[in-house]
Amino acid sequence: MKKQQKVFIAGLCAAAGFLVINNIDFSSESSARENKDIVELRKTLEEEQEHRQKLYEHIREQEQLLERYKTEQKNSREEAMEEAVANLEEKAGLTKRRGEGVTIQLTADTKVEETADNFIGPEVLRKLVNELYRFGAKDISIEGERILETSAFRDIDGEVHINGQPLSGFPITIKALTDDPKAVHNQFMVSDSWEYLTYEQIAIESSIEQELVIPAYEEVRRVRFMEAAEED
Amino acid sequence: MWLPVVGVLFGVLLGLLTGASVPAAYTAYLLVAVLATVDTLCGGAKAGLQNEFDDALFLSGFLMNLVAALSLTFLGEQLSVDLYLAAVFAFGVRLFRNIAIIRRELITRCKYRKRL
Repeated sequence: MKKQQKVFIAGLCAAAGFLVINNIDFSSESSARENKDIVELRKTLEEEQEHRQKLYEHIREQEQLLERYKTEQKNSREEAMEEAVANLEEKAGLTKRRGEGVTIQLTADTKVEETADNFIGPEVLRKLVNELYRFGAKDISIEGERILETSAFRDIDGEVHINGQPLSGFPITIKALTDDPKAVHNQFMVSDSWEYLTYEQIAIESSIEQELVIPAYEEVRRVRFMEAAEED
Repeated sequence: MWLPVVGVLFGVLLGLLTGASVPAAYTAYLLVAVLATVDTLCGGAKAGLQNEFDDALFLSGFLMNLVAALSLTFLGEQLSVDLYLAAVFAFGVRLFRNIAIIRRELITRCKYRKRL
């Protein structure tokens, strides 16, 4: 064999040895570790997948429950009717209301002796209430009597009656619930009612309240001239 | 006879000392390269025994085989098909045929010597 051939063979042998040892080195230790890692990872993955499955089931259950509640709520006529009734009661003034508003106190001028003559008349009160409504009052009570659309202001034997209840005399407290108490207060100060009351020797005190309670209408509302519309 | 052994030892030593490691993605390339080298070695040994050894053939055969096999492996990886198996199969078959020829040649030589 020639020298060159020997060198070729030796070189190739070296290359083969190098490649093989590389391969062995690569595939022995590290691949075993990798296999182990892969097994561990698979195990963890399986566990996590099971966990995910459980979570999905849990979510599905909760969603079903939510769906059931929703349909129940939707289907519950009773609940809807109750809600409607509560809403209507609130609108009709059958519930207690609270919020910010204006308190107006009417007292007899101390300089003038209180007589039946200078006591406030029902028409004045009616005018006052109407003006307050016009200024933006939402709910009004006079001496604890809730004023409704149907409230009657009557003069019975020289005594003012509201909702059938007599007013005991001065001082008279009028409470008006409103979204903008300041505006109502200011407008009331320059109103016709204010002027008229002052003219009648009645001292007026108006103040803005942050927390005002308007009582509910306690009588039974009588509905006349009204019939339930029948559905087709 | 001792030069190939020295060569192998040198290669192994070089591999161990450099600590070079091939990433897992290139295992197929390494495998094909090892097979091409071993195949060429066997071919060279066979040719040497039959007195047909030619430097140019030896070297060009090795390089061409190596390039072809690596290209095939590369193509296989691009196509996601294990095309390197074709090279492995071809090298494997030729390797065993060459080993068989070497064996016969050696046996013939032994018998020839005994007769002498």
